Amino acid sequence: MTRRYHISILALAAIFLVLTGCASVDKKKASPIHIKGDEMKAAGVDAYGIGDYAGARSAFAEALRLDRSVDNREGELLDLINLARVAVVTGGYIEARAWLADAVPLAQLLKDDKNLSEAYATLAKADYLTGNHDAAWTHIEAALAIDQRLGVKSGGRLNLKAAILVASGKTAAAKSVLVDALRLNAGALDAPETANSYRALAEADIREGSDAPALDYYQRAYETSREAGDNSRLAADLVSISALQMKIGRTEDALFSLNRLYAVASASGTAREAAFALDGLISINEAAGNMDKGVFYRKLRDALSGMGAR
Amino acid sequence: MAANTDKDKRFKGLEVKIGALVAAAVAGIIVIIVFIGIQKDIFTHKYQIYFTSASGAGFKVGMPVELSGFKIGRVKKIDLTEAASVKVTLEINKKYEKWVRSNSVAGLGKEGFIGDAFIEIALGGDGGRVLEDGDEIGFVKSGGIEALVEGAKPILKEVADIIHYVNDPKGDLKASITNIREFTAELRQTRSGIDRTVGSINQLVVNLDARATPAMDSFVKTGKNLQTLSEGLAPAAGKVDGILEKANAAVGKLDHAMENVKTLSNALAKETPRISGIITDASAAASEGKGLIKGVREGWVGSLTAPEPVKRPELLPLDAYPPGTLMPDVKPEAVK
Repeated sequence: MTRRYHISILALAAIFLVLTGCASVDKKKASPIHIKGDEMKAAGVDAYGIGDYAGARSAFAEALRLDRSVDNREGELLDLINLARVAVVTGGYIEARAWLADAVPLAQLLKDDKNLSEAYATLAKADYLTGNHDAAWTHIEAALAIDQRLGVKSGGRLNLKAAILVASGKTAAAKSVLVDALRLNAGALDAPETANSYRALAEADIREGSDAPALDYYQRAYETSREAGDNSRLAADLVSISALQMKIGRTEDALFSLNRLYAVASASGTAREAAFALDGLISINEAAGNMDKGVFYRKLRDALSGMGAR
Repeated sequence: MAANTDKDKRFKGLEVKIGALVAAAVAGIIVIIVFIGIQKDIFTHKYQIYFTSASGAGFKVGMPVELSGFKIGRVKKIDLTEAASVKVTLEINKKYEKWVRSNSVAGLGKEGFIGDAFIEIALGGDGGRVLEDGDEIGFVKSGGIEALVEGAKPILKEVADIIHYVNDPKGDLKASITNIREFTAELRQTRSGIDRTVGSINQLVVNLDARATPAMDSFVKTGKNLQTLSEGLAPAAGKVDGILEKANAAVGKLDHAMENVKTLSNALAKETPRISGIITDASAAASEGKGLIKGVREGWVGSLTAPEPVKRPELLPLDAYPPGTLMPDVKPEAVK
């Protein structure tokens, strides 16, 4: 019964207790309501992915209700941010700010810096889209500062920062930011954000009056989106491309782009872009003396106007 | 030595220490027994009811008894009665007795097609009285392969009836085949008679006067035509024979096949209890295996070795460029 014997026995007992303790730790099982909440989140993400924003909003609202009923605060935070993002996409900026007004203090309470950054970035987006550039700048800087502290680099955030700079007239600074953004996005094979970088570069060039480089960037954005199968932006890109082509006198190219735009817009049911394409086709054909084609496109345009497109 | 023991301080109060240790150990054992007892419902008030089944296949002592998917008891024992039927005694927790009434029925249920077997008690209506200790509850046989075999039995019986009908020597089918066979034999005889008649006529014609030759020639032609006709009939008769032979062979094969079906169905019916037992055992083994795997997975070893499940994205991407936002202020009219 030496001291060494006692220590050995004690150590063995401690190891045994630790192992059995670890083995008996019952993993905190998610309750059915937790699981249902997660399922509703996933349903919301899926609905958003196919452009069903009403469905996404409904799913996230249900997820929020469920998460709040079981005091799942981490889930609640995600739901609030998601609801705000859906609201931003559908133009509900006041609603988005209301969700984020709950999300930001919750993230601070939970000390969840990652999602606090997401909430700030979403606020920046809402501010940017409503023309509140100073607030947008404050929020995107807050988000980027948190990201820097966490060691995270996001090309998407840089795109947003650049877009705010462009909107504020600081195109040179924006281009500098976009160089980094493009590198990060391309490196991460993030096609949607890579295309957004090109779009922001094009916007900066348009602001500077450099239409030809802007056209080139829009064409790159269009090709990037098309190759990645991201059809949601094709019509908008073709509008920009054809408008710039008309502006700089590349009429043949503009005709081709406008025809493609009309096809894309008709297929995706975006009447505003289809009307833009027809206006362009009428204008070019009538200017070139092709009155028959002009009449043909004018009839289409009138029919579209009859359906409510302006 | 004894003196040393008395003087040594370590032995002071030794009896008390040993007594306390033993008391603590006994108390610990009692606590464990009580804890296990509570876990296993040993201290819960229970009562027994029973039902009688024609077969004991599928029942097992310890099998859970469920009501509306909720475990309310277990199978206590299974006995063979004097009438060679099986008496299954159920032990039900007293607190659930209000739902087990005289108009409740018990049945053998399974989780899924070959899942864990259990006794399912269907809820009795308000009209029935609450069953008491020693009462009998109705039993309805259902589910599993037994039910399938039971369901298939009438079909197999019908198949056997059809075979019997086909094979019956006095049956319509056999009688028809016999009639056709007799008709064919008679047709063959008729053809021979015609052949003989034609030969006689030829012989007669040779002996006739030359004046009668043209008339006889035409008669001979008629005879030849008749011969052609009979020759034409001969292969047809042969074909009918062939068809009948094939039909007989087919009937024989069908008979043999149906015998096999009968043998198989009999064997299956005999082996059903064993199959059911095997399925029950396999189900129990699978359940234990599942439990073991779950234990390992949830234990610390599993948590260290098992791969993390692939997480789905929970947050929407902040790619919120609404379509059309970047539409430039360039109007198509610019080319005019």
